[in-house]
Amino acid sequence: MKRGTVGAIQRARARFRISDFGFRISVAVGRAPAAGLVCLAALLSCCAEGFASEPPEQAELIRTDSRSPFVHRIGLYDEGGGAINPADKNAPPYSPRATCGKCHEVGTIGHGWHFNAGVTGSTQGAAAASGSAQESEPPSVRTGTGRPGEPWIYTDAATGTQIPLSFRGWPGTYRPEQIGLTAWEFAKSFGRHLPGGGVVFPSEVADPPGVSRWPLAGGLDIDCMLCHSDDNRHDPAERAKQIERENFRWIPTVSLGLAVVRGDTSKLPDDFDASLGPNPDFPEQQPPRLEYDKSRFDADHRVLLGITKRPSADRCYFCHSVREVGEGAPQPWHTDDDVHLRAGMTCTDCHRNGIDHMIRRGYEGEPTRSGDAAAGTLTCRGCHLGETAAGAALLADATARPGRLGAPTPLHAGLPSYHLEELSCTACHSGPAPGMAAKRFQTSLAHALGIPTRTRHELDDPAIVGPVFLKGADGRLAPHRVLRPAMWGARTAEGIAPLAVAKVARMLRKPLADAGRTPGSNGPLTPDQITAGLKAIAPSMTAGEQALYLADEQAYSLAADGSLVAVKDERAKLYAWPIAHDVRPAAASLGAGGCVDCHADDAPLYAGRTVDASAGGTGEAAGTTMLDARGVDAALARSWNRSMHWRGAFKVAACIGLGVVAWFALAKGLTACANWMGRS
Amino acid sequence: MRPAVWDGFTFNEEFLSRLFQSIAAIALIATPLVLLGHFLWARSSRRGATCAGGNGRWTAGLLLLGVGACGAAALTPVLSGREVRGWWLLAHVSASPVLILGLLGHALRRAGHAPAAKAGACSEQAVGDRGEPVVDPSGESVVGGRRDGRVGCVCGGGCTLTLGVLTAASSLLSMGTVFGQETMALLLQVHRYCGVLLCVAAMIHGYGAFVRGTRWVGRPARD
Repeated sequence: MKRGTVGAIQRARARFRISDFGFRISVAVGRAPAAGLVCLAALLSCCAEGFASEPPEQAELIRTDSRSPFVHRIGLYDEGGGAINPADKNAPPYSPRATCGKCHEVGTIGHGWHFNAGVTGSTQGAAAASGSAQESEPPSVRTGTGRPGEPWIYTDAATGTQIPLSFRGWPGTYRPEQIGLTAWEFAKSFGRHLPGGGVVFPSEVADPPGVSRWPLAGGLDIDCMLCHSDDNRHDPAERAKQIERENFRWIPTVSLGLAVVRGDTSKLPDDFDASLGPNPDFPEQQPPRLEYDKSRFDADHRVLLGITKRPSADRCYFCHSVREVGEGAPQPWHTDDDVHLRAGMTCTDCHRNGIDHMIRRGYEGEPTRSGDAAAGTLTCRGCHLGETAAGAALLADATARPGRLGAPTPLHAGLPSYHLEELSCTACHSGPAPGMAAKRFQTSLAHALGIPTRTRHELDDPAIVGPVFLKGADGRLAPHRVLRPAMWGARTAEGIAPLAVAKVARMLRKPLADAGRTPGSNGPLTPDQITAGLKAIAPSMTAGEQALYLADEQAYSLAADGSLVAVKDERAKLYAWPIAHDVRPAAASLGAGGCVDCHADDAPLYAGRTVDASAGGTGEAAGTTMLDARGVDAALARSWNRSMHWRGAFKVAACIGLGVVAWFALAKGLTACANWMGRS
Repeated sequence: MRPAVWDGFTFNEEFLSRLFQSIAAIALIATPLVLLGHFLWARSSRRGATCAGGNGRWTAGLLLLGVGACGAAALTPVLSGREVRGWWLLAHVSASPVLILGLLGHALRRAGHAPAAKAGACSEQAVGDRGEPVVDPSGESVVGGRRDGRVGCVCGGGCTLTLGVLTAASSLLSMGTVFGQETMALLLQVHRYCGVLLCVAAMIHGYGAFVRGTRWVGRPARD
């Protein structure tokens, strides 16, 4: 009999499950019914305090209500709500949900922007695409999508695949299940930079052993200290290491340095059941075990946690780092931070949130989408210009006036005011200055920055380039980072769908390797490799299906004679997301050098390429300039650019002419006055 | 709260922009109607006079061309509910040299009639100097004492020049790096409103130069 089946039979226990917005707790009380009942009562009490629905949470929680930060010298609790004794050899890992839930509304927090992907995203796509908020939904749900941002990118350089993924329904992205990624695989691939909760803390965690690996590993729950650690004792890189080992349940404890974990869940079989005790046939199969650092605890088993409400930028940078790489990339010490950081601010001064943890992203239009008018005061324009999208009602509020947080009001001398309507603030002030070729970037989410490794190289896929000036969702020109999606798919009567990436990898690694796609290769596939790949996939296509490779805004397929055919296809178009940081000072902004910073035929804003230097080719290559990418009226742009040649001369001539006219008009006026006075 | 229009320190740009659309529409419709009314009244009463003549029509023509081109490029999108952007703005800017030349020509032409300036541009002496009739066949002056003629001349001369200077100067000042956004926004409103008034003045001026001066308008009574 299989071990899992035996385990299921032997578990003659009651399972109590308390659900609250996806939160599941199960308590095994089979071996000691009386103890189980006590445990249940304690658990129900605990849930009433910490895990119940939102209104009771506020009523029952312990609070200080002071602006002075509470010193978190607190006891730790496991996921069942039991207090942790570090001296106990089998002490369980602490659960942030149970521990923090004593005083904080973890149910509400679980809907926060960083945690709600996959929970609300599925219902938000349409609303986001249309830009309309669903009035019937609370703000915390309505903002499940927002402005398209950086996606997760599934990358497999061996098969020339880079696919933007998102649970939020952003146009141009795919949901992970569309490419055959399960929540488990998603957590394993991207959990390193996911703060937990939502889709990576599924209800399957409470399933019996053998159904999936979730019960073994535990869910990747929200780790509060990932952001709120004040003293950098929380180690996100350690967290990523434990995700590889599938020790999800033990992560918060180990990352915080409260204990070290012995054992890897990844080495346990799928049907492993810890409740059965050691397997004599496989004694090495042991669940992970913690060794607590007792020096961190006081005599009452309390631990002092360095917690801040205002995390430093260094904590945010673990997931939100971007670095320029490739030819011409500046040395880090040549670059400056965002001017706001230099001024002593931190990310959360603008990207604020309430207890719902709906971080204000600070883009134009967010107040409308989020239903929170005050969000408009935290945008660039809100702080610096006092412009809010909230309407006149907010104007009586001092926070809606320019100068919030001491923000200087920009002069913008000589800048025709319609530029502020046509351009986002970031167009001139954010990101690296544009060049004639796009720059290559690596990001935390895409290239696992922050995770120590010897195998990260500058030109590793996915290829993210920028700044590319495109119109944003609000119609204003803004700098973007762009990704050129590349994927294998099938054309059916219903349209084009990407193939499951695992299947693609299985089928294509060898044919592509034979066609010269050696391990470690990066960049786009060659036509020969695409042909080889399509030929390898074709036999798996059913009747009515045609194998495709989508890349470089084209759909490649094989003609009847076996030759490669490329057709322009919308599904392979650029995926772009706006660049908001680093904000440059006014002196280093676009336009500080005059109109011709932008208004010139050879200015990067028009002639700059949307591909980086590694892509080769020339600037004249069709479809690779920012002007082409924007799809604007090229003749109009050129006309404006050329008018700038005459602008100086025109201003001088016009001033002289007007001076003469004004002098004459004045003389005439004075003469007329004199005549009138003489007559009277 | 922001002021309705202007409280001496700040002004409501949005309100002024909305108001501008209405004012422009009213001005562009009402002025031709008033001039048409005047034309019909003048024809029926056999009155006729002119402030411009000879090369004055060339300068008036140039001024009208500049005002017309600039006005059409700016007001067409405004009256159709759009912003002055793209090709419209480029056309507006491109036509501005013609307007400045027209203003310059108009100013120089008037400057060339210094005696007339002393006695009033619409005096009998000035009109006579230009070789135009100063009396009708009945011997009554058609120039000097006419209130309507004076109004037309004032509009054609002083107002057109003054508004032209204000319109162009407000735009030119915005092109420098002297003023910030607040002042530039104010200058934009000055430019807009003066521009519309310039269009009105130019229409009156053009009417005076080309329509009221024609023989069939100013034709005297036979008996």
